[in-house]
Amino acid sequence: MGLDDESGSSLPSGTDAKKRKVSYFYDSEIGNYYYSQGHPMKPHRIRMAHNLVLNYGLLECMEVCKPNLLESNEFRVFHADDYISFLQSVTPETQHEQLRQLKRFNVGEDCPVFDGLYSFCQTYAGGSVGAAVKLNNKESDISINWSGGLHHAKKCEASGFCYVNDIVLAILELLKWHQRVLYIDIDIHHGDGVEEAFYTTDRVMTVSFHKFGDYFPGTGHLKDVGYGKGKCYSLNVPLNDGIDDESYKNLFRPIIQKVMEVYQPEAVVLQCGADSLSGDRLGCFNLSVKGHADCVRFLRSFNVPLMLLGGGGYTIRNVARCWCYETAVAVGVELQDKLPINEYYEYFGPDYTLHVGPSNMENQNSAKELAKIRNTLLEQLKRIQHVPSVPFQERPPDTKFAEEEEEDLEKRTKSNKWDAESHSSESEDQKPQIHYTDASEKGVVRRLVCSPTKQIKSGEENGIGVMIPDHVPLHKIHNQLYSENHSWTELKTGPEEFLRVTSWSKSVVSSQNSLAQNLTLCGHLK
Amino acid sequence: MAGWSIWDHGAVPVSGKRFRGPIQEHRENPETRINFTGLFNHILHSCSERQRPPISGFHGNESFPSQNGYVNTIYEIESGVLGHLTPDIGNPFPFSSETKHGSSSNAGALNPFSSERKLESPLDNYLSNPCSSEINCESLMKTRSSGRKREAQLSSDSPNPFSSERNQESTLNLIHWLRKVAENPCDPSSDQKQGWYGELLAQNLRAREALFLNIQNASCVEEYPYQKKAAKSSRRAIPPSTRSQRDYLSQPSSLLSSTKPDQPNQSVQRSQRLMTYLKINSDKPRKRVPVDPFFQADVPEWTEPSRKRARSTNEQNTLDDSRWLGTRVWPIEGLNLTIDQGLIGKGRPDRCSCTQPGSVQCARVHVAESRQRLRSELGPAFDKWGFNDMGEEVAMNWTLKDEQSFTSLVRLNPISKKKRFWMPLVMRFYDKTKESLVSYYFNVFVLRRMSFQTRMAYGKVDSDDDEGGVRDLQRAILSESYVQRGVP
Repeated sequence: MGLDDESGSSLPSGTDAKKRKVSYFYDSEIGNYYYSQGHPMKPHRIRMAHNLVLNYGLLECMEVCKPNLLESNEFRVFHADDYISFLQSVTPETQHEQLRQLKRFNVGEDCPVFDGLYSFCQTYAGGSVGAAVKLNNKESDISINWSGGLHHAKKCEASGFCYVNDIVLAILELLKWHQRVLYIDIDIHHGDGVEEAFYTTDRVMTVSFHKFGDYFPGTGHLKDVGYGKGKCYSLNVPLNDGIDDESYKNLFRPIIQKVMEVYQPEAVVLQCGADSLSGDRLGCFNLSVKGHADCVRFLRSFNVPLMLLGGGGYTIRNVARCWCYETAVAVGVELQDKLPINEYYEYFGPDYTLHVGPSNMENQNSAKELAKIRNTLLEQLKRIQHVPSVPFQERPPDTKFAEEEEEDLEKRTKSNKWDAESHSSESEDQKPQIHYTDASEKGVVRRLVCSPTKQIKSGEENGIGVMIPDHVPLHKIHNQLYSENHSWTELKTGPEEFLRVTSWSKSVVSSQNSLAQNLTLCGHLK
Repeated sequence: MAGWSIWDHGAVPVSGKRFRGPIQEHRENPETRINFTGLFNHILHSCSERQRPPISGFHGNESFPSQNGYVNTIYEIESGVLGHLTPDIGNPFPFSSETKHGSSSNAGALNPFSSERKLESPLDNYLSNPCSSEINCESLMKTRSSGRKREAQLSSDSPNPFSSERNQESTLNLIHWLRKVAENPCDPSSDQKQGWYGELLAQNLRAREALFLNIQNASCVEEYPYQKKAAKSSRRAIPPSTRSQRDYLSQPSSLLSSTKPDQPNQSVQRSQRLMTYLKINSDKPRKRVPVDPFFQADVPEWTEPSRKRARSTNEQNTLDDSRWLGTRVWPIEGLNLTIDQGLIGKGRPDRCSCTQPGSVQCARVHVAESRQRLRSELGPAFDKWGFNDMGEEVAMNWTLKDEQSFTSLVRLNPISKKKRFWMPLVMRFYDKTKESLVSYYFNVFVLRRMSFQTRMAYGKVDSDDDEGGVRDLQRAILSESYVQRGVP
């Protein structure tokens, strides 16, 4: 199979279009970090992948670096101070003294405390930021960090086996030297941490292909398109179980093609989560290693600085196979199917081959549904201005509400299967969404704090409120509040309705952090 | 929460103080009756729940005491009741020895399980109508003299048909019966299956099933932790909240009949413990993306970086950048190491000259060869990439005895029995670091286990299944020839 047998859309490239300078980050300590017994996330898979890469002789074609550990002030470029302090201080022996913090930062179950947790975070984040700097300095065309790609981590909490979001940190580094960065996520889980971080900016476009419908993390709806300046700069491709190589390619290529044309990113970050492979312990797609790597191959053909990151992947021998093969694709080498002898040879029995084909599981994505999704997204992309010669317009500060979709979509998302067919992009109801902003202008709009349990007294001094512009029907806000058992009082100040939803006691609103804990609207917090 | 003890069974809160169990209450206040109702139901409840052991001291991560816990409970009851029960308390239980003696002077449902007595008892009522939440032992007790002070009882109008001797005896019988039930309620070899004991057994099981079993969660009534036979496979009933995985698993058996041996789906068994990860609450409305500086990253406006800020001239920047570039490990400057270009991308040869191609020994020989080759090709990078920490080589630092202990500890603490092997490992190998334990686990233990899984045709090759192949591995390790020493 030829390397560039598929027609990519190369932008003007260098003299040798097939060769790319590749930097690869690897830390030999990574394999010995251990989440907990029975936990599906095993950093050992990165060591296995590295061993395969070495034994296939790929060293000749790339540079290998040991990453620097990220320091705490460098985490704080994105993450909250107290969260990072917590990660630095917590250990398995002392965690029982910090139960409240564990709960607050969502550490302890999916994201357990284990020995060396903080240095693990420093290592994998250091690799991603190092990869970004390599691209910034134009020292390589493609940089790789398979230990990174932990896309669920949020600003102030861990999530989905991820503690710090190395992708956000790497993108922030890239943004110093690149005006626009494209982020693509082919992990089976929605890339919620990265999307959330860049939801309101147009300097980063996030595209995620994921299973949607009764599946972690629950976000990634087709209609989540971004907000404010970032509107239309988030793309979500919700899929059902069992998608195969062909269907995936028929979505990936046209959409990314269009994105590249319209957005013209100066750098691309691809999160190559391997849990979208067939036979993954937690995943339910049906991609082969070749199908998965086709995404890498396609992006490589654009000849834009590219960063490859790891991510999910819980059948570790398949993860090693996949990332080894994708390293070879990046480098431009074709690998033989019979695995070379390597230190982990016995993991790959009984066939000891590189490629593992898909299974015969049913593809629950019909061609019609996929076509519908593709068309919706292509339409969405049309709304983006092509790279303008003038800066993007500033939005007026008072319109803080995004258009919404039909209400019955709410019900549909509860079912297991995502149903794209019955979704219409035209007849949208303007369902209001309550956002919390911290705009200090007028001293009126502050964070929204609601408590579902207690009676609220009107007129409390520490009331928090939200402004509602004229076109948004108030009764819909009331419905939403009412359905979540909140109390509120109404005030009218000037031309706009002002809704003050008050907390029930001052002691609750004692700190920023407990505010965050009480935020339940918009389905944000558990 | 604090451990449960006999004192806590059936405990109720007492005005903000710690919970006090019925036996403790009786002990402190002998005039009160022991609330056998609550006690009995509570024991039944807690011993039926597989998740919560009835005995103190265990938290979620520790071994489930299961059978032992249940039996211990009964022993405690025995000692507690015998030690503190005053004989003037009327025997509230129907399981008295009276039945055996065929006494006819008992009022009410003396032994509701007796086939001779057709009188309806609260227990019978309950069994015929499981919707009631509790076995109404109170009404059982009312059929006899209620608990009074010793003096009052002796002088009561309705003579206590039971002497204090008989009270104790019947209570003893109860305790003995409970103990037997605890030890093995489903023991087919029990010779007391006949007669009233057998009936008691059967009725106890039905009561338990009706009261406490969630049929969806248990595939079979017999499947209890204290069951002596080996635990069933990890496939369990799937809770409805993870429908997606269940749908996948309910794919027809064509998945399993796939002929390719390394067909990925064949090896995937979504055990229940895996499904505890990455759960979401699907009942909640659609999750929205929050918009707030609290959640978004701080993205500055784009400013064209001054290209004059040359990386080589501005020292500060050079320092920052070079820090982030990490430490280059390959290629190595100045060293003239070459890798055979012909080997790039090449897999293993089709044939080898070993006497038993494909055997464990064959694989080991070739792994050692490849290691040598890499050592000469990589030079200093070989150590920097931690090759001493890769593959079976790691076992070189372990004695045979240590390896045997490691394998035994893992085998004896399988996760399918809700046990954990890490703490025992850490305690046994106090002289080794945790990193070295993890390293041995992945580089040696799992590797060897998988070599057995592959060759012994267990049907699936699964790096996460710590139980498949371990027995064979353990046997092999006992033979020194398996554990190679002195092989470069």
